[in-house]
Amino acid sequence: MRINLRIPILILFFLYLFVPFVSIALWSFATGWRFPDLLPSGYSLRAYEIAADPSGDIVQGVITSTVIALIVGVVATLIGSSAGRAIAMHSFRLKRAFQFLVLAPLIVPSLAVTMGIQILFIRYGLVDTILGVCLAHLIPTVPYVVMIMTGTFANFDRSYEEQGQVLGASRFTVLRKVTIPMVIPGLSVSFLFAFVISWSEYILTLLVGGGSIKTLPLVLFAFLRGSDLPLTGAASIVFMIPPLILLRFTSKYLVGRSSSMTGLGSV
Amino acid sequence: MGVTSQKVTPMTHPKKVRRRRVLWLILPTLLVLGILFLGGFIFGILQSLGLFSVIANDNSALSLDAYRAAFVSDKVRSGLVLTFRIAFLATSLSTVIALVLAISISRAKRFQKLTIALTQFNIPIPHVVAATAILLTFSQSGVISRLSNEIGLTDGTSDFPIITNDPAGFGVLLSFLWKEIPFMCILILGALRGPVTALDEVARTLGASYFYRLRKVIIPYIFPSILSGTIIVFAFTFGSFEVPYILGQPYPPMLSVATYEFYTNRDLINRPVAMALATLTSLSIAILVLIYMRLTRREGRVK
Repeated sequence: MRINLRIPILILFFLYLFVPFVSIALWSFATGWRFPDLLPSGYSLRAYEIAADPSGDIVQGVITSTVIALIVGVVATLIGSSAGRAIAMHSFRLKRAFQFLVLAPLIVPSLAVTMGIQILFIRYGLVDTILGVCLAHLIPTVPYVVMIMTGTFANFDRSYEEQGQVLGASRFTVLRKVTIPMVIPGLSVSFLFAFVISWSEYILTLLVGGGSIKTLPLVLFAFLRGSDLPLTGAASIVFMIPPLILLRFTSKYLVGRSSSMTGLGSV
Repeated sequence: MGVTSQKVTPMTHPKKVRRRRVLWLILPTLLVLGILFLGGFIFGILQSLGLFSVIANDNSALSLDAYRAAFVSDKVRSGLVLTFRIAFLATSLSTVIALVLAISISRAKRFQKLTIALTQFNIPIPHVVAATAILLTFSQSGVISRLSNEIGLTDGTSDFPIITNDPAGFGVLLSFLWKEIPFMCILILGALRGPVTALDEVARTLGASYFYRLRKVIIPYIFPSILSGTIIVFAFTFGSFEVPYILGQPYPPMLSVATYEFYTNRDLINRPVAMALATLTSLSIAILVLIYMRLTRREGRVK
């Protein structure tokens, strides 16, 4: 009985996951799609032509979002992984308090924090700037990186680094040739999470960017309001592509013999 | 090769050097989270208490007016109930479904790579896109409604049940599940790939039945992953803004949307109320998570 049930359950699950993608894809190519029709009455690339306009909202949004998500991804991965190493491999005073500080942003909604820092950001001229948005995006991203890298460094064998040092390598060479290659799965997954969280962030960007830093989520919201569904569909498709490309390169580290997700299992 | 056996001791740095090195490792994170996160959080609380008012020349002193205003608001009270119900359902349903899926995927002999790849596909999709896709699929004129109209199950748009922007928050729940089932599933699959397979194998050769192994070997092993996964999912769905903003109904709004409405209200007097609501939301999540951890810790020890 169990075995017989398994396949229908999986099929139902994957239908639930993939039918929504089909709806956005169909809408993005549709010229008209009246209600009872199962499929659009005509297809065109109109929405994509609008999307590809170099001075249009979508292209500009892609550029802004990419710049911000790349900066946030790199910075969060750098600072979060060193904290992860400290937690996993060193004992220090107030370590529990530090761990608590790292986990707290996962519990406290970003809306609460952003409303609070907005007044500080206004005072220091950080609102409406890319720098301000990047700083705000570090709040939800760094905790994920620290968790993932704590998990990675928990299984890290220090003796390899020590061997490198004994053989006369400089600390930088050891880092480049020994440490980084050993933790590359964790670093990749960390970058994936940080990039994707920043790439998807709406409310932080809206409040800190003041509407003048227009990332893709803001553009998509504007289209949803305007109820041009083909354009909404095309923007959604464009919005999905960079995260999926990143997933293509990191998926082997998500579920693998050395899964980097285990770090997330240690709240 | 001989190096491995050699006892290398760079660990015996003087204590001071090691302490300084640790400080450098944690300093950037400490600064970012200490200033931006903790600073933002504390400033939010101060503003909820009537301090640092944005209104010029307002010399207001410490007061609990904003909290009083939040508590008496019907919008807030029914919003809290709705938010809790949706976050609870999203967390429990995604956990149970993901557990069933992860175990059946890990036991599958065929198409395992394919099913894992398909499950991962949703993880990097932005929540805004997820909510849009759910809207286009499950609304009264969405793809499912068209399908059911085609096969004669329903007649027209108004005959199809309202499951997006609906009072019960079903659309919001559908969108959360769409994102969180794959997340929990990958988290559990990651844990299932560890040493547990060898333990399971040993138990099997010793003659343990499948259900016995599930109860005594597999579940206890993946329990920590499930525990932190549920905390992440609950806190996220409780505080999430984008999804209820797109798929929710105007009244009662979920807490995050209500907070945002107070915050962006033209009358700046509502700002402290927004801050109070945000503080209450954080506090509710923290208390619920603490209770949950207390309960499950006891549970975990028994195992």
